[in-house]
Amino acid sequence: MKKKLLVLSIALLGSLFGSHVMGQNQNISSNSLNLGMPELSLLSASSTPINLVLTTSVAGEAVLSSISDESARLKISSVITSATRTLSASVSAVPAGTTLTLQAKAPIGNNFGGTQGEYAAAQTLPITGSATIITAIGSCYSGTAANDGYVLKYTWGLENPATTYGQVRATGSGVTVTVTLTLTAAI
Amino acid sequence: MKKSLLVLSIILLGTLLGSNVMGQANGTASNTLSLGMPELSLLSSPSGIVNLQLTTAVAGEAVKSSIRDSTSRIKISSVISGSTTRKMSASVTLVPNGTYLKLMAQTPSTNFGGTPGTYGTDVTLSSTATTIISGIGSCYSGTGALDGYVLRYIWGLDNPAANYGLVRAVAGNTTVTVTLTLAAEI
Repeated sequence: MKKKLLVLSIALLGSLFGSHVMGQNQNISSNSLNLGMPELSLLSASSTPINLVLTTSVAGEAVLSSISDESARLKISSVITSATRTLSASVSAVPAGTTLTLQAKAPIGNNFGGTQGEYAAAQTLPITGSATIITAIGSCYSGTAANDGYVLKYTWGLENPATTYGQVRATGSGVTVTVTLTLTAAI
Repeated sequence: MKKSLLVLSIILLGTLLGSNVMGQANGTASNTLSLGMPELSLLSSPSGIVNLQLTTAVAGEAVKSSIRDSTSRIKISSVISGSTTRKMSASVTLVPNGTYLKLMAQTPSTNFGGTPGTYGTDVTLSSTATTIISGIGSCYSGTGALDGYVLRYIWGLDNPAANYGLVRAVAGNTTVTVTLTLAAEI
């Protein structure tokens, strides 16, 4: 008998409180969001030609052994997935008896953000193949102002005057060469 | 035992019919009505996926600093007991490194009735639930496609000057889930 009463009591309680319990099972909802960030690998270099002249005014001297310029900039936008990137460079031609080297240096100013990578020492630019200028470039951006971007230091000089000076030739209005910079995934 | 059942049945009948029988003694009658209004705390959100993408096409630029979307809605049916209002809180499964995800609840459509509470502040989401609406009373949002509080999501770069190196591309997308919860305010 006590059992039946208990069952009845429970049934009554159930109908009394049932409505309160219902409806609370949906007080949670959710939204799905797709957050997309594609890889980026963009470069742009300042377009102003760089003029380098080697000469002398003293009889008996070779021309200036080398001359440098740090006016060029290389802007970058990079978003990596995991592997870091490498910046490499090559040159279209180099006058006989001379070499052209390139060294990238840290950006000037405060517009750069992210992982700028590690800079190699000055590299002689090859005509075939390429020289590695910066390694371990991560996700980064340089800014877009005139002075933003990696500083590119070009040095044009006599290769080894004691043995190759005989190959040096004067040029009227200068020899125009093109340096190609490439951003790649790490090898 | 049968006796007991009989007694019980009589008592039950008594309770059920009691109110009708009573009150006829002096020419007046009364009815007792039980009006049930259980607490309600219901939420639903459209199942459409919110797509947000950050990128650029210009060398030197960071990806777009932020992008927003206001297409999502959250419908609500709320009936509170007494004066204890409710709050809606939100959490997210994960946020990609170097970025933030913010959520602001905004004014619902005109089909809304009742006490909508206080909203309108950008809240940075994390895995810990954070309040986006407080002081929600008894209310309903309507059930149309555009009914409900407007949910404005903003995905953006979190201090790029310092954190951009943490940013990573993802093939396809990173799918994250934002969970919205309605609960009593303490």
